Amino acid sequence: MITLGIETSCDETSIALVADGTSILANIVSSQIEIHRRFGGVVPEIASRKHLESISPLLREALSEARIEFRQIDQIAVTMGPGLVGALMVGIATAKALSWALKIPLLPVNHIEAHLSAGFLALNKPPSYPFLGLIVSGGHSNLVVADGNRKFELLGRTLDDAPGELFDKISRKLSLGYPGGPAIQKTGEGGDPMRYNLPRPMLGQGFAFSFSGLKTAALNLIRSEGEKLNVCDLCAALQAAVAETFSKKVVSALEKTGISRLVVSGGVAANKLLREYLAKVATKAQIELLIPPPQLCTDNAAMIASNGFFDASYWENDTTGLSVKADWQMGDNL
Amino acid sequence: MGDVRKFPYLFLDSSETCIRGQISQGASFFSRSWETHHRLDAMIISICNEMLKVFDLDLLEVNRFGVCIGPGSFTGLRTSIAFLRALAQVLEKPLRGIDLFSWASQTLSDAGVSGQVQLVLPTYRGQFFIAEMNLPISDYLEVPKPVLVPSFDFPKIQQVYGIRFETSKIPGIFPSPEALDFLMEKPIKDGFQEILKVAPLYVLPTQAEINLSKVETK
Repeated sequence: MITLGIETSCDETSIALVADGTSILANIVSSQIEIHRRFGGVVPEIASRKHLESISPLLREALSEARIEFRQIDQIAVTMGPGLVGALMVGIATAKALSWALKIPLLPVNHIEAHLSAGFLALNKPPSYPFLGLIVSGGHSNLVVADGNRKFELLGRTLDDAPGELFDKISRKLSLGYPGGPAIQKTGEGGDPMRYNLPRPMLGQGFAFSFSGLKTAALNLIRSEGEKLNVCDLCAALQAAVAETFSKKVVSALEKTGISRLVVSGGVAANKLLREYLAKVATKAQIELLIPPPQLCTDNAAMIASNGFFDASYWENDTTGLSVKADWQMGDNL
Repeated sequence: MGDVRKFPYLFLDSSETCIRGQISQGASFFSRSWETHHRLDAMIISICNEMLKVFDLDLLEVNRFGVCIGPGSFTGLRTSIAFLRALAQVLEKPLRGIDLFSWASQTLSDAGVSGQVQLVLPTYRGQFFIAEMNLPISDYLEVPKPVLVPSFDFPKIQQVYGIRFETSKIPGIFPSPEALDFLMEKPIKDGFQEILKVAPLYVLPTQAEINLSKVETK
């Protein structure tokens, strides 16, 4: 069964074709990073305009790469939220037109839930439950227990900034460029993470995350150190603080739930140091760790198609009248 | 209404929150509007289905699609353009983009207005799009492009019309279904590259672009 995936929730336009939810036939991503770089962050209106420019050619390119014709598509999975309303609307309108014209089902997909699908997709496997899921991205950080299709127990999420936002803001302050995650990773290579003592926020206080205090601490350090600041060491220290915070929360969650499988995804999961920390956690706890390769950690339509395929049974009624939901929480209905 | 036409069309205008739709069959056409309450994406298929039902048509029987390309609501325009582009792409049918200045000038011409006219359309930022032209013109799909001006106090020429708005000094021109029908019937090119040309017109710079431009100028 061929699923067409469409993703336009933020600044990546992506179209994918996935067979049986596990085999990627095409996964084309058009990134707007270069466009938003000059603004130091995503400008929603510009993102929406670029999605409209890109989506039709990408659709054509994906079909060509997969050697698939429209009539061979069995269903369409599209991100309905969370995300930027104007950006989401472009993907949803496109998906609805295709679903209507081809008379095939339209599958609404929660973008955050789909990030977890990427862990299994990378192994060409269907999801196995239960698992502990950690989604770390530019706009989100959620720690959940997944117990079945669209069944999630939220253990904790960020109370303020997401880790990607933290990296973006510090990177901008240090004039390292956008997006902040890769810039900070590159600058911090070979740096001494012990040189600066940054806080590990909210450890021992449940599973919620908070990165605004860490951001303030880093900004204060930049101010107080002035020209003496070693940018390389600060970047290393910042990444270590983030990675250690996530690792310790994950260890606590594994102990509390007794779950032996951990799935980590989202743009920040592409960070090398975080991957190393979590790999150590998995080895020590003797659990299965699924972290997709970086290209499946960041926003892409293959994860949307895969998630839509495996959660298709959830949508029993006609979905063509459903609307965008910019603040759609994991597991909630539309 | 002219000769009996061979092919039906389906057109959407979402430049305002109240969406307008029009469909034709033979020599007849049907036009109406719907209040979307900012849920255009939820309603767009049912709106199209409602129009198809008027003439008992199947989607596959529609020969060409049309869409208003603005100026107007950014999100509204993008939603209907994305929808109709995808329909045109998958069904391999041509798509025509019609802007409000073409549509309004055709409406004026149909009403017998001739000579030099100015068309004015306000934007949400208090600026105005203004286009000047001599009616009649040979092709209303190729009217002169409007310019964006910071304010519009007083008409400089005699015949000034506000597109979908009017004041004590400026009469309003409301683009008519008949004018749209005429524009939709004009010959149209097909092919994927032609579909891609249908995009929102006269888009204003975003606040972020304006701010950045100020910083770069300094």
